[in-house]
Amino acid sequence: MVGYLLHVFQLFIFNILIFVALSNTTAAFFNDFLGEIGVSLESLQLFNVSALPAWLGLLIFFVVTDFVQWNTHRLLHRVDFLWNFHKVHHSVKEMGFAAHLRYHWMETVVYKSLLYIPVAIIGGFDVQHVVFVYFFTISVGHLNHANLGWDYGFLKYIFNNPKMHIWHHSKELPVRYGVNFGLTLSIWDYLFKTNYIPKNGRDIELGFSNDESFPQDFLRQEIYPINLKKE
Amino acid sequence: MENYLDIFINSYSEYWNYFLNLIYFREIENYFYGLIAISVIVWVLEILFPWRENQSIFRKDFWLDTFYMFFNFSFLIFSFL
Repeated sequence: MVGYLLHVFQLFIFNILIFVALSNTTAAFFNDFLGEIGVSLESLQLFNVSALPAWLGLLIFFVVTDFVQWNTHRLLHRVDFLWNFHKVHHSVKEMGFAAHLRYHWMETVVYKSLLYIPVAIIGGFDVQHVVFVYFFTISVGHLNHANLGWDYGFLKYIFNNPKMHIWHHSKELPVRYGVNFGLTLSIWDYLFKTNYIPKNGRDIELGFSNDESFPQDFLRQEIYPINLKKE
Repeated sequence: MENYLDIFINSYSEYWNYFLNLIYFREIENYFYGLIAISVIVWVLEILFPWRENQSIFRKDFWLDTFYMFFNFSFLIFSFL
């Protein structure tokens, strides 16, 4: 029992250390790289939203970060190494609000690292506004994973919704690397033709192929990608 | 010798208090209340208007996912600050 708790503790501390180190390293690496080629972050900024009206700055932040994260999400499905981390999220067998945040902590590192660059290039975001966007996206994300048969009418072409997102979690897929990659906005999937809702998805089986052998508990799910490599 | 030990311990506990009183730690607490509020609202909607009617209110992996939710949300907040 004590050994088990110690393991949990070590894993948690280790996670935070690696997490902070990786995030800071990415930021430092990017800044050093810019310094090396003789430009500063400020000179690289395409424009600074602090000069714009608050609502417009907010909208730009929201749309840009959503599009970058849509691409990151596609990457998680496309690259085998990243897919092994992303499997945790797809091991959900029954939808519910908390399934939204069931994912490997490594995903946060990948998402935030790739987000750093565009957010740095478009400067001047207000922290209070960013928090507002965060809570909006968390609300939509919770609804996407909830046991609700909703699609918000014509807004379904703009916002991701439970009826669309359940097909992203379908065990059977029409194409190998998945469909409906939207996070908060569904518009990217419609624009780039990755949308897929063949019928009402209420009763479809969720998961991924061979998910029967995927671990069921937190710790084994955490070390799954590392264990795979050893085999 | 005891004096040195006291200074050593005090400086750490003072730093710890200072750390906890940093403005963003107070905000973090509010962020967690925000997450809990959103979760309860969506959960109530799921109970009132279930899509899969035979699915339990405490569905498969409910507690596992609740743990994941707080665990990953802390990382989100850390990365954001």
